[in-house]
Amino acid sequence: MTNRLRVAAVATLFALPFGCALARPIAYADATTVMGEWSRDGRELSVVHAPRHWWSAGVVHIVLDDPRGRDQHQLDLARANYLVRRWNLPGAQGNAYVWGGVGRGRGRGIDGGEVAWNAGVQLDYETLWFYSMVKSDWHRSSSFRHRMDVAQLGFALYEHNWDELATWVVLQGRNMRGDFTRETETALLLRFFRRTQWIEAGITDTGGFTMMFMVNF
Amino acid sequence: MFRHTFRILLAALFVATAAPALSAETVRTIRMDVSGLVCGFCAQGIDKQLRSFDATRDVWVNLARGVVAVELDPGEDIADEALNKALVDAGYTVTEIRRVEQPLAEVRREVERAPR
Repeated sequence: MTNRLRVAAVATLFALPFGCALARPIAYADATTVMGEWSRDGRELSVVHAPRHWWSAGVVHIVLDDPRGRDQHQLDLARANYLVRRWNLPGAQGNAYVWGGVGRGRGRGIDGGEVAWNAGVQLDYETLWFYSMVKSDWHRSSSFRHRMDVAQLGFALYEHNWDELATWVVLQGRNMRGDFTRETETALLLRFFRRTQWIEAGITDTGGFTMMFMVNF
Repeated sequence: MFRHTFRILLAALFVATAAPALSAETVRTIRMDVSGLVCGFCAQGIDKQLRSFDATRDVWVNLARGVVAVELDPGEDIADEALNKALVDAGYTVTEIRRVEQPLAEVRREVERAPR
């Protein structure tokens, strides 16, 4: 077992005590959500509140790393998320979300920062046993641009109710294009959730480690 | 003799008609079938909305059966319109609302044992 695999295994074990198969920009009405994400090329931490089930707003701190270690771009944004459409079906649900944010961007050679913005769209479909999601996320400022497209397919390992620990296996494909990188990677993730806590961790085909968590209050 | 029998019958009739009134303490549960109920966030949002009613004693959500049940305080009720609004506000669609004179634990057992 390689060191990276050991780290992923330990991280997923730590995740065991931890609750939706899908990372959603809006959890539910009157929920405050703290979400964090780490990967080889970036980190993100956000706090959002949803007054209603169809919109939420909050702040997000994003760090995007140049894989060659030559630069780093940091964004501090105020962001709003909007549920465009929900399809409630017997035993299934589909959603269409959009989001947008504006704030400050900082990076090497940018004095005092510059106006930066973010926009994205997500489509998902989920049952108790299966879920699929595609999303596209754009980050821009006058001196920087980055786009990330993500597709996920997930399968539950056993039937679960919301107050029990759920375990999913997720296959993720990610395509990144921008000033720092132009690459596609796949990842195998293990996802655990129970009630309001949610965590996933896994490894990529390039040997990188990726992790994400979400807690609702 | 006839008078005595009449009195006994009258007493029996009183007891029989009084029984439903005395059962005002009977626990009542509202059972709803809900579409789109597939994840923990769904359940959490619905649980939060339904517990905000004064008449609510307990709430149970079953994702696999798409069932939401609300046990009521004795003698209390929540109007169908209010229930429907709470579920719509939470982001879900109610397909059926039924009231049963059973505690939530009994409804839960029945739902979990019912064939799919």
